[in-house]
Amino acid sequence: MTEPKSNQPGEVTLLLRRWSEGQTDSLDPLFNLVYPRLRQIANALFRGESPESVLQPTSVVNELFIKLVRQHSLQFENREHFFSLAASLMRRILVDHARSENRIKRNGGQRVALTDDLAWGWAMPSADLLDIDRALKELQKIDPRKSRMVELRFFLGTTSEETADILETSKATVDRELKFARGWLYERLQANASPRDGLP
Amino acid sequence: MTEVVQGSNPISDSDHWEDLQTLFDRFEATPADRREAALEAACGDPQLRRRVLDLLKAADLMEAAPSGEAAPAMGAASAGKATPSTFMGPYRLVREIGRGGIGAVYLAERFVDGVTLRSAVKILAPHVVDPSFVDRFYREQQNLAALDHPNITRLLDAGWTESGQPYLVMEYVEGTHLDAYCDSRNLAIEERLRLFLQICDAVSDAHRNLIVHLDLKPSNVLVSTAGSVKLLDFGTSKLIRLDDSPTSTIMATPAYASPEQLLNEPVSTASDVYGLGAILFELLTGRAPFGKASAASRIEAAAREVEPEALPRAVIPDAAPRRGQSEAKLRQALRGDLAAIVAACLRSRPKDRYSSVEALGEEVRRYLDCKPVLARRQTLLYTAGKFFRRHRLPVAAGCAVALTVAVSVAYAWSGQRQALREAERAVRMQTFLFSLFKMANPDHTGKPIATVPEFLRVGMSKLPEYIHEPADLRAAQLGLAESMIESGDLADARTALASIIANASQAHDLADKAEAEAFAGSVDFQQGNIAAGRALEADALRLSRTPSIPPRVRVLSEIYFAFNEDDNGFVSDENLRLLRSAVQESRQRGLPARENSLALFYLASDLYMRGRGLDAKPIFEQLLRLYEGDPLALCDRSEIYGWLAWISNTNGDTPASLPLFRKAYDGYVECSGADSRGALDQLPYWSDALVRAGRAKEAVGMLEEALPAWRRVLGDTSEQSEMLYFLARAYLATDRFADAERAATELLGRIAGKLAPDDRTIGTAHLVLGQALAAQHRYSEARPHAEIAVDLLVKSAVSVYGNQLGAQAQALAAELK
Repeated sequence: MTEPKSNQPGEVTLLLRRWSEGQTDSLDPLFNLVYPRLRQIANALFRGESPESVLQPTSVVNELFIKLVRQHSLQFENREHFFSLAASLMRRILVDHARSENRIKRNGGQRVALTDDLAWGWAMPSADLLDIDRALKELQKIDPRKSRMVELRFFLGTTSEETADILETSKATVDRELKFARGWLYERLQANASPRDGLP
Repeated sequence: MTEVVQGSNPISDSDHWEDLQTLFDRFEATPADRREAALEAACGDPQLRRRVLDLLKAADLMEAAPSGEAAPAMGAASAGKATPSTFMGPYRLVREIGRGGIGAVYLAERFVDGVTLRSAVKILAPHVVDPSFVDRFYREQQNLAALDHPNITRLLDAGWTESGQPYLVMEYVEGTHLDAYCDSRNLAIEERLRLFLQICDAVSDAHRNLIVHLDLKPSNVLVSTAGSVKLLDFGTSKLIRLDDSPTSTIMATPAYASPEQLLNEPVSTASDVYGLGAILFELLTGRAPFGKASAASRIEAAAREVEPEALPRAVIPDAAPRRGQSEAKLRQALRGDLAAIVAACLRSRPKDRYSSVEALGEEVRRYLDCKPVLARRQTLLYTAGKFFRRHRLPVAAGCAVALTVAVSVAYAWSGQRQALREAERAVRMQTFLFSLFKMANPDHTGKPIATVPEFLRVGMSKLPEYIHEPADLRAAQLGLAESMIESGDLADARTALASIIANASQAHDLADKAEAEAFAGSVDFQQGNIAAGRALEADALRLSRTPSIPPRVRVLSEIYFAFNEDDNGFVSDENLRLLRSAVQESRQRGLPARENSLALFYLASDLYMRGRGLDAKPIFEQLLRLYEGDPLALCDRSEIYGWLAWISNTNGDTPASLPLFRKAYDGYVECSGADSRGALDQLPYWSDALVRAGRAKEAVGMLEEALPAWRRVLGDTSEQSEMLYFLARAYLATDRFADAERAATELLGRIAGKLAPDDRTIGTAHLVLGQALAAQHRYSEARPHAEIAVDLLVKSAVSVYGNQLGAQAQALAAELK
C-alpha cells in the first residue's frame, strides 16, 4: 500500500483548514488522503479471527494523530476541531472495518473494545458498530454537539475531563449530556433491534 | 428530520429535544419508582412523559451494564481466568497473572522429566508480531543470554501455537507490583528511592548489553517479599513490531510512554530514562505524570511538547499517609532536588534528559547522600532555552521580550550572587517564569494577556509570591524592569525601579542600587526629567567606583551616565573616555553580548552626536555583525540600519541611505509592527533622505500617512517634534508653505516650556517656521525666528547635520536682513 497523496502536506493542510472552518464536506477527501495508512494499521490490528484481535485504539489513534500533528500549519488554537476531526476519523475507520467484516458475517456483530471507561457503549446487547453508527447519525441530526461528545469519548477515548476541556465546558455538563446521549442511543438501538434496511 | 421518529416513539424527539433533556436532567436522580409521579406533576404531555421515562430507563440500564464485559477476553475463556486445560505449546496455563497492551501473562507449568517447572507465558496479540518473530528470538538469544542480572527476569522461549497464537516464555517470579508493594508498606520517600535505584541498576546493565526495555512501568516491576526488585519484559521490545511499521508505540503503555514513542519517532536508551522518570514520578506522588490522560490527549500533548506538572503539585490526596508524612511535608520534600531530577527525566526531547540511566542513578544517589544534584543547575539554562521554543504560539508577540526577561533575569541572578545558593534560586526563578508563562497563556487564564507590557506588569506583581529572599527579589525585579524599558513601558519601569532603589538602599546593596539608579536615571532623561536623571546617573557612577561592584554594573553605570550627559548637552571629553572604557571593560571581562553591544551602541551614538558620524560608522557596522544570525536581534539590527542610513544621508551619500532606511523600516515592521515606535521613528529621517533625493512628494505622502499613528502612539507629548519638524521640511520642499507653517507652529507649541531654553530642538523649530514664513514673503514675521535659530543652532552644533542646520539658519538670517 503506497500513500502517494499523503506526502502532500499542502493538500491535507488545506482540507484541514476548510474542515476547521466548518466545511464538513472536506472530511471525505481528507479521509481519503490519510486513510490508506490508517487502514493498513487497522487491518493489522483486526487481523485474525481470535478474540485477541480486538482493536487497540491506541495504535490507530497514534497513527492518526501523528498524521495530523505533522501538518505543520496545524493550528493548536483549534483544539476542538483537531480532536473532533480525529474522533470522526476514528469512527469512520471502525465503521469501515465493521462494514467490511459484516459483508462476511452479518450476525454476532463486531465486538470492539475501546478503553474501560467507554465500555458502556459495547455492553449494548445486540448492538454492533454499524447500528451504533446509524443511531449516531440520527443523533447528529438532532444534536450535533452531543454526537461530537460521543465521538470524542467513545471513539477517540478522551476522558470526561478532556472532553470537557476540548469542548470548553465543564465535566459535569459532559457527564450530564453524555448520560442523556447514552440513554437515547441505547433506547434507539433497542427500538431498532431488527435490521432496518431503509435507513442510510 | 422527522425520519428519526420510528414506530415506537409516539412523538418526534427533534421537536421536543430541549424539553426531553430538561426533564431528563431534572428527574435523572429521582428513584425509578417515583419518577412517573414526579413527571406527571411537572409535565402535562403524556407522550413526552412516556418518552422521558423510556430514556431514563435506558440510561439506567446503561449504567448498570457491567463494564468488564467489554474488556478484551483472552483465549477461549472469559476475561481473568484461563481454563486449566488450555495449553500453549508445551506449556499448560494455570491462571492469568497480568495483562498489558500487547497481551496477557499466565502462570504456566511444564513437565520435564517428571518435574513441574513453573514459568510465565505471555500470549501476544497476533498483530504485535510478524511471522519472523520466533527467528528473531533465536537471533537475539545471545544478547538476551548476556542479560544475566539478578534484577531482570529472563526470557526463555518463544513460539507459535498450532492455532497461530504467538507467545513468549519468561522466568516466573513471585512478587508484588512495585506500586502495590510500596503503598502496602507505607514506604517513605527514601526507601522508595532505594528500590528505584535497584531498577536503575538493572536497566543500566541491560543498556550496556544493548537492550532497551521501552515499556517501563510500575506493573513491569515486581518486588519480592525480601525487597529485591525484578524487572519483567526485558528484551520483548526487540521481538515485537508491527510488520508494516517500524513502530515502538504499539507496545508502550501510553501513561508511561515517552513522547518519541507516542509520536513514533526513533527510540533509544533515553526512552527508558523517560520511563524510569515516569515510574519515579508515580512512586513519589502517587500518580503517573499525566494522570489518567487518554492516549489521544497524551499524543497531542507530546506533539505540543507539554511536560508534566511539577512533582509537589501532582501529589494525590492519598499519597502522604502512604509515605508516612503529612501532605505539607511531602510536598516540601518533593520540591527542589527531587522535582528537578524527575523533570530532567521527563523532558520532551530525548537529548534534554539525563544522558544515561547510569547518570540518573548517580543523581539519585547524590540526593540520598545529601550532595548537590546536577539537575538543579541545568534547569535554569534549560528553561531559558525552552521558552522561545515552547511558547512561540501563545505569546508570539511577547517572545522576544520574554527571552530577554529570561536571559536578563537569569544573568542578574547568576552574575553577582554566591554560587552556593544559586541552584535553589534558579529553581524558584524557573518556577516563577514558568508560572508567568502559564498566566500569559489563554489556555490557563481564559483571558489572554494581550500585550508585552501587560505581561511584564503581571510578572512584576506576582514576583514576590515566588521569590522571598530580598536580594533575589531585587535582582529579579531589575530584570523585569529592564524588560519594561525595552518594551517602552517607561512609567511602570520607573515605579518599579524606585522601589528597587529604596530596598537596595536599605539593605546596603550597592550593586543593585547602582544598577537600578542607572536605569531609573535613563528613564528620567527619556521622560524629560533632566535634573533628576543627572542626579541618579551621577550617583550610580559614584557607587560603581566601589571596588566590590561587579564589572557588569560598572559598565552599565558608565554607559548611562556618559551617554545621557552628552545626549542632553552636557558634553565632555571625560564622557567619551568613559564610554570607551566601558566598551573595553565589557570586552576584557567577557561580559554577555547584551552589555557588550550596549556599550558599543552608545559609544557609536555618542560619536555621532559629536559630529563624528564617520567614526561611528565602523562601530555600527561591527554591531551589525554581532547581531548577524541572531533571530532575536531583528529590532536591534533594524535600529543599526537606521543609524547607518542617517549617517550616509547626512554625509553626502543620500542614494546609499535609501535602501538602508528601507531595511531599517521593514525590519522594525517585522519585529515589532508598523505602529511600533521603532518603525515610526525611521520615517521622519527617511523622509529627509527622500527630500534630498528630490522625492519630496513621496516624503510628504509617507509622513502624512504615518501622522495618525504617531499621534496615537505618542499621544500629546513633545516627542512628536521630530515628525512635525520633518513634515514641515517636506512641505517646504514641495512648496506647501502654509502647511509647513502650520506644522512648524504646532511643533513650537508642543515643545514650548518642555525643553531647556537652549535646547537645539527649539532652534530647529524656529528655523523651519522662519523658513516657512519667509517663503510666504512674511519677512518681518520670519526674522525673529531666524535670529533664535542662529542663536541656538550655530554655536552649539556638533554633528554634521547640526552644522548643516546652523548653516541654514545663518543663510535664512542673511536673506532676511
